Amino acid sequence: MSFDWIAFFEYLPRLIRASGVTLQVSLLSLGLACVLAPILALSRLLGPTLLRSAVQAFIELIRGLPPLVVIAFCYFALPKLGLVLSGFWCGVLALGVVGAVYAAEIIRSAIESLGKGQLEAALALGFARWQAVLDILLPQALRRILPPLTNEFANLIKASSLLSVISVHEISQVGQSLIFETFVVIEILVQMAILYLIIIGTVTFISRRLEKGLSS
Amino acid sequence: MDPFYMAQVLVRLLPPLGLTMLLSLTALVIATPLGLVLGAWRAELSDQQPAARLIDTWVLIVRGTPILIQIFVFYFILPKLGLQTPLFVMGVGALVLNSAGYQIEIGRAAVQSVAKGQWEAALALGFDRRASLLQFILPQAARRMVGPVMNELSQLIKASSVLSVITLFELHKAAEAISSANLRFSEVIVVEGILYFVFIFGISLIARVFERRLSSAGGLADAGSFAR
Amino acid sequence: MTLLAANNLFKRFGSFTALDGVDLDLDRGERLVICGPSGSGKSTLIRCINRLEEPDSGTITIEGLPATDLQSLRRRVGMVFQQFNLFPNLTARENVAIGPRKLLGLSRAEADARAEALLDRVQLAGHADKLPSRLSGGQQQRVAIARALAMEPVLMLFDEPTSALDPEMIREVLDVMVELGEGGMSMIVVTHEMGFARRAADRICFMDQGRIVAMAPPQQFFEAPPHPRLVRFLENILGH
Repeated sequence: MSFDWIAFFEYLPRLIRASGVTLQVSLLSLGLACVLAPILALSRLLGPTLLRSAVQAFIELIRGLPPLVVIAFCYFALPKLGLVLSGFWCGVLALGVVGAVYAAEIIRSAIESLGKGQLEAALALGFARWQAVLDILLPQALRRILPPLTNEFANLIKASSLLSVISVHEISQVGQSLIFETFVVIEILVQMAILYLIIIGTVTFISRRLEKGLSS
Repeated sequence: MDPFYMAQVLVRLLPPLGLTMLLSLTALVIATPLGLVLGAWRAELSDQQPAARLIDTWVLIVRGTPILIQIFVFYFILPKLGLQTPLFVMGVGALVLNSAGYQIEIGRAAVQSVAKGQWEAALALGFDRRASLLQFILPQAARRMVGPVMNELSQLIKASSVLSVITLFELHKAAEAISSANLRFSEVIVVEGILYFVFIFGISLIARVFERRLSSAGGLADAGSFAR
Repeated sequence: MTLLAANNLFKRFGSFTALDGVDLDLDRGERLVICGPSGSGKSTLIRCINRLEEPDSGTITIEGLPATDLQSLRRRVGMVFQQFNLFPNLTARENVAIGPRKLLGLSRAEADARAEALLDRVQLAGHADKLPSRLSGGQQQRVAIARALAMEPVLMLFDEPTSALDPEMIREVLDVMVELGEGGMSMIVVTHEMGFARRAADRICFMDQGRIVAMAPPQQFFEAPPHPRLVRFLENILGH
C-alpha cells in the first residue's frame, strides 16, 4: 500500500469545488441560525409564559435529536406537509434550525451569567425588562457570546458532512462517490480530512483569537 | 398519522434501539478511561513533550474533522489492510476514537480547573507531584468530570446515528429502511425521533443534575457542541 | 408633607419571614437611616419600595399615589447598591447618561452634559472617560450615586452603600451622601455606619426579625436607646 500522488492531484480539484458547497451550505445555515437564535433566546427570556415554555420545549426537542434525524425530517417529512425543498435548501434549513437552538442556549446562558446585579441596576433606573435585556445586558453578553458562537460555526461545518445522505454535493458526498468510482481510498480520504481540517482549523483559530481579544 | 402503524414501527425499532444503546455504551466504557487518563496526564505535560504533541494531534484531528470522515477511515481502510472486521467493531472503533478525543479535553480541563492553591497546599505538606495529583487533585477533578461524561453518553447516542452510512443497522438505519420500504416517512421519523429524544434528553437531564450538584463550573461549555 | 407611606408590609422567602408587618413614613426632604442585624429585613424593605421585591401584602404610596406603573415608579426612586452594579462595558459618563438618554428622551449631548455635571458634583470630574474597572471602589460607588441622581429622583435608596468598600474609601462616599442630604434630597439609607447616622440622619430606625423595633432621632437613639435589643446591637457595633 503506497500513497499515489498522481491520483491525489487528479481528484483534488473536484474536492476543492465540493468544499465550496460545504462552505456555502454552512454559511447560509449560520446566517439562518443568527437570525433565529436571538428570537428564540429573547422569547425564552422575555416572552409570556406560554411562549416561553413552547420555545423551551422546542429547544429541548432539537437538542435531544441527532442532527441526522432533523435532516431526514426536513427532507422526507416536510414534503408531506407541503414544503418541498431541494437537498441543498433542506440542508440549510435543518442545520440552520439545529444551529439556532444551540446558539440560543449560548445567548441565554451568557445573559444569565452576567448575574442579577446588572439586571437589578437597570430595573432600578426605570428600564422595563425587555429594555434592560436589549440595552444593558445584551451588549455586555456579546463578548461572551461571540467566541462560542464561532465555535458553533465549526460544528455547523462538521454537521454539513451529514448532508451527503440527502445528496448535497459537498466534500463528504463527492469524496464518497469518488471512492466508489475509483477505488482510490486513502488518497481521497486524506484529501477530505485535510480540507475539513483547513476550514475548521481556520474557524477555530478565529474563535480562539476572539476569545483572547475580548477577554483582555 | 396512523397510530396503529406507528405502534408497529415502534415495536420493530426496539431491537435497533438496543443496538444503538449497545454501541454507545460500549464506546463510552472504552473511551472514558482512555480519554480521561490521557487528559489528566496531558494536563501535567508541557506542550513540547512528544507525548503531549501526540495527544494534541489526536484531539486536533478528531475535533477538526466530521465524525463521518472518521467512520470512513475505519470502513474503507481496514479492509484495504486486509483486516476482515465486523461492522459493529468498526462502529465502536470510530466512536471510541472520536469520543476519547473529546474526553481528553474533559479530563484535562477538570484537572486544570482545580485551584492552584490545592497543588501548593499538597506540595507544601511534602507530597511529591505524583502523589499530590493522585491524592488530592484527581479526587476533586473527578467530581467535575461526572456531568460532562454523562453528557458524553448522549453525545455518543447522537453520533452513533451517523454509523447508518456504513449500513450498520442501528436505530437511524433501521428507521430509514422501514420508511423507504413503506414510503411512510413522517410516521417512522416521528417514532424514531421520540425514541432518540427520550434517551438523549433523559440522560442530559441527569447529567445536568450531576453538573449542578458536583461542580460550580460549567454552563457555557455544555451548551455548545451538537455535531461531531 | 408625606413623600412615602408604607403600610403593613409582609414578605416571606419560603419559610423565612423577611418583613413581618412593617409601617414606614417618610417626609419630603427627610433622611432616614435603617440599621439592624443581618437578616433583619432592612434590605428587603427598601427593595420593596422600588419593587425589586414584590411584597406579599401591604401598600406603598409615593407622593400620595400607589405605584401602578413599575417603570415610572422606579424612575422617581433612585437606588444605590452594595456591589455598585455599574455597567462594566460603559464609561463613567455613559453609565450616568444612559438612563436619561434611553428613558427620559434626552439627546446624547444633553445626557452627556447632565452626566458631566453630576460627576463633577460627586468629585469625579476627571474620570468621565474611564471604565468602571479602572476606578476604585469608592469612585465606582460615587458614579453609581451620580447614575441614580441622573434620573432626577424624588427619593434615593441606599442599600449598604459602603459595606463592600475598603475602609479608606468609605469616607469619600459618605461625604457625598451627607452633602446630598443637606441639599434637601429625601433619602433612606441602610447602613452600619453609625457616625454617618449621627451626622446626617433625621431619624434612625432599628429593625430586627422583620419588624421595626425602634425609631428615634439620632440623639435619643444613641443616648437613650428605646429598646433592649437595640442596646445590645449598639454595644456590638460600637464595640463598647
